[in-house]
Amino acid sequence: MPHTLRPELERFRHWLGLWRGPGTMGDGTEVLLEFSIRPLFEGAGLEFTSSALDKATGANLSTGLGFWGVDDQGKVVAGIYTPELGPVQMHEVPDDPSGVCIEALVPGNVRFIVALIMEGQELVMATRRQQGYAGQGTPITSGTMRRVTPSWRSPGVTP
Amino acid sequence: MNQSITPFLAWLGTWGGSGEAQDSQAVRIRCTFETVVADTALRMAFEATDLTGQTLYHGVVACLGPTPTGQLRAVALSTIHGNLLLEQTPDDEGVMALAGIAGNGNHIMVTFVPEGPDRLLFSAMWRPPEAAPDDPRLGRMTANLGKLTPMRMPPPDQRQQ
Repeated sequence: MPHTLRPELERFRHWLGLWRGPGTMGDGTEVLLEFSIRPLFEGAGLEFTSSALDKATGANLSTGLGFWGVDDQGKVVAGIYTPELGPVQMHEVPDDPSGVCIEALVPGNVRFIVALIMEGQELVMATRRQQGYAGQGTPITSGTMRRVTPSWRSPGVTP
Repeated sequence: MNQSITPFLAWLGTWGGSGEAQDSQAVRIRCTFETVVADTALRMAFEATDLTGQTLYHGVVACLGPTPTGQLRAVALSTIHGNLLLEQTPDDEGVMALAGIAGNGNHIMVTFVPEGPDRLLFSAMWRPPEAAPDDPRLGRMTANLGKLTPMRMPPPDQRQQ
């Protein structure tokens, strides 16, 4: 049965599910990125989790969780928690309409920016920190993920 | 484990109970606490429904965790108030007391008070920014919650035929 979503969140319907793919952390460490997103309260909002996993051991190197709602302008407002930032509220800024870019100003005059965009069948995620308003951005994680699909739904793939 | 959520770790699990909202409306509550994000934060999922459990009056999910400077804060999404950022407010030890202002301007206060090992008293209040204390738009909810535990079947030789 299809999920119900409030109209302002319909543009993310095709993102619902679990995504994984190769990524890189700011220090160059190669990781497996994982991103999941699901509806809350019959589509009144969305909940996501995001992790960067050690490619060899699967250990969690970085992780976060958050809730997406919308403001009275129809823009995404995300309440997120990561151990590094604590709980912060992020607001959508204008960007490519096929994706979403949210940012927050955190203590130390640092902007924390998360961008997600679809490129074909792939979901591209990039997070970065930017010192001040005109400072150079420092990547935190970036990567390209594909939807995790059961093998029985992937023609030609046998377990 | 981060110290700031430690007092609430005894609450992990699912709680249920009944209470009332404004206008003496009877409500049924279900509330689950779990640790998330490598056990550094507490996720709370809260539902207030009618007594059949089929009509949702208010749903909230929240993630409570420490800021880098040590305060306790929660991000939340409410079906009534939208996105919320709630700060811990001073209260008795062991009490979770949170307050904040929603994006729509509503002032919100929420408390969970432990009343014994498996009992919690929940109360919440919200009001529009310009509302007086006796304003009919004032929202409130109180409920007594008990920890839900799995039903334990008696051993076969002690079951009644």
